[in-house]
Amino acid sequence: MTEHAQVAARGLTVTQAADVTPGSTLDLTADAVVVGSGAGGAIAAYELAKAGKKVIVLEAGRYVSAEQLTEMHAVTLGTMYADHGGQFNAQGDINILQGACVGGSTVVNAALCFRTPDYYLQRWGEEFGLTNLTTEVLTPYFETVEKNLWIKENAPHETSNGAELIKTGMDKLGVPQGIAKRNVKDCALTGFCFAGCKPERKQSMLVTYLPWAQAYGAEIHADTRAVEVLTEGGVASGIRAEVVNPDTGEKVADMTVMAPIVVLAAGPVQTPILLKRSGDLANSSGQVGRNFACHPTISLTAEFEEDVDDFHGATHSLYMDRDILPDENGVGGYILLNALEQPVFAGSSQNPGTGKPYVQFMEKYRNTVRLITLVHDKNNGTVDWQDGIKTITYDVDDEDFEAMKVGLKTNAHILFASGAKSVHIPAALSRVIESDDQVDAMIDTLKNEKSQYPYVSFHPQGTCRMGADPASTVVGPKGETHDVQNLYVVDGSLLPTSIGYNPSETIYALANYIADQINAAHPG
Amino acid sequence: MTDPTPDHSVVEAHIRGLKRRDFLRLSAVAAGLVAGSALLRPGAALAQVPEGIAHMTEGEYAVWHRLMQVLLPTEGSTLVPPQDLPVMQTVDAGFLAGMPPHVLAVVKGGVAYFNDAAEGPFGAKFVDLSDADATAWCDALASSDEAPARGLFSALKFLVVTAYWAIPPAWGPIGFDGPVTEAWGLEYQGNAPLPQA
Repeated sequence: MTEHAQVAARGLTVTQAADVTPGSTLDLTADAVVVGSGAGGAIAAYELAKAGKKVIVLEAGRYVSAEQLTEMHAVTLGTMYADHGGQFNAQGDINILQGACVGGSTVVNAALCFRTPDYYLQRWGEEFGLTNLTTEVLTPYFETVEKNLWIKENAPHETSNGAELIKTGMDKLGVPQGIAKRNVKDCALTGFCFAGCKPERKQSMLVTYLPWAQAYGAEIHADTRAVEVLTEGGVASGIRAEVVNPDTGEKVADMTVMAPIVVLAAGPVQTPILLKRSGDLANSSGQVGRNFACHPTISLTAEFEEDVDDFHGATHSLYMDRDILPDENGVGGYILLNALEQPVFAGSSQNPGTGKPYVQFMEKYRNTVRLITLVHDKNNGTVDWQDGIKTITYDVDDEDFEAMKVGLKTNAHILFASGAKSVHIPAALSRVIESDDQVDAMIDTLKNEKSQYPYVSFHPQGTCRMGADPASTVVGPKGETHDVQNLYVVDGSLLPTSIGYNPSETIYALANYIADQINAAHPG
Repeated sequence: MTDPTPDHSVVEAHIRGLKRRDFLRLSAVAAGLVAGSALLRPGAALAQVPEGIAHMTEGEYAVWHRLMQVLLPTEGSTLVPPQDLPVMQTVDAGFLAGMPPHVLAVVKGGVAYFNDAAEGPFGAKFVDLSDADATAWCDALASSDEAPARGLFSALKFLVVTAYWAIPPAWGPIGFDGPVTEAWGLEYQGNAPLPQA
């Protein structure tokens, strides 16, 4: 079978709710059941299937083929993101965006990739006993996923009008420029990364590891939410799930997948919830759902005299990571990142004043450019599940906010050096910086207040952290939970600390590494 | 007619004077509004919105509609007047329709609170305020020292303006051309081949 695997030219074969008889019960068996089809789940599914295992992938979200992508962000948020784009922290001031579709966040992210910094690998070894995750061990995994996913530095033409303006400012200030590396092949520069890449240039799981897993016999079930991890005698034995109509939310059928290998890849929000729903499984440490971090971001919006039209091109082109590493106490660190912005996001992020000031601001939308400040944050949040309701309790820490302010100052200085005539700080009532000499003083006045800044997060992490000590971590160094044999985790919930950079490549590499450990432990 | 617009300190004093339980309620509204928002379910952003308003009472509709007018006063601008777009239908079908019942109930409470609480500083409900006073009430909430007040207004504004900008005809005046793959004649690249060892 391995020698004759064939990849479909287009699309996936996916069992969806519409394919299932209402009221039925599906009893399936496999060698491995994978919960989640994103960065971790898809790679694990492929590596296990390639090793000859019968793999079933369960995805809670819907399957959206390339032809069905709309290139309309509002529609995409409603159909392909967690909670229809409305996933927020309990305070309601951080929008935590995650993909909820076949392919997961890889379908709707901006494809930016970074290797895990050596700093964190070393820190994980020292603080969490992850001495197996050295640079030497992980480098071949980074190389593999970079090759498989076409992760390359942007070509010179893969930029945007806004990025070119920002580049001039960075040049003037002598700020080091990083050129984005992305998992994109022949980028069509549509600018619709966050709505899914319709012409299939982004090498998301939808067009790579999932069809490859299917070439080795893996089955994919969409609209299928895992509700319980099954165990027998302390050993994982399968998953109980529900098939749900994605339009109405109503249950269509019950499903049980019995499998001696259970791999959780539902993401840092849903993986701990699944464990909690399973009788607080794998939680002798009390750490399931704890240590949540999310890389909160604030985007400054610069207004220029001329039209910029920064809505097509490479979604990300430039970054600045000079100050990304935390201080000697492990605190702080930020990265700057340019990004295209489309009306739905631009229109809701700034409030220059109610009414006329807002209308006047949006009339100048095509004159605007945004630059993101993303902070390395403390793992001080929790994900809870009670009475059927999910709660993400996380507020930006005071020290992290101070790091954000340092980043915002650099950000604003770059924008003014780029020729901006004003820079808007998003807030419940936005503040406008009129000139470069006002930057430091104005940003110094910002306080870490709740419901003040419209934070956006694309990088939830933590919640099932990995480490050698069963008393303080959930998952062991090889990806298996400390408490439940044959129960593995391969998603962003593993990360013991936030890493300051986009975590997708870290998750790709860890999933591949853990899949190898699974195959070694379960040969044949 | 309402009283002359009070100065900001007077409005803030009214906000501060609200009882603690009111703020707790406001906080729940702010979180509920966003956490429960089924942001533009399939088709809701397009023209195929239901004709009627299914999830607002007449009174709630008046508050939402007045808020839309206050947030998007497009007269004299190049923007498309919100009344020419199905903004209310998008709020209704795109957000409210997808909320779990307990969240929808909280949101309805928040809308009522937003309307009624204006009586303290302005002597009239939000729907009855002049444009200037209605704008001042919104700005007072947005700039309040009280997080729940900021959260409530931010959430209400988020739903209305997001609904507006989700509608493609709103994009023309700001130069955004929308979807491009078909317009540019881009070809689908398909699945990547299996990795070679």
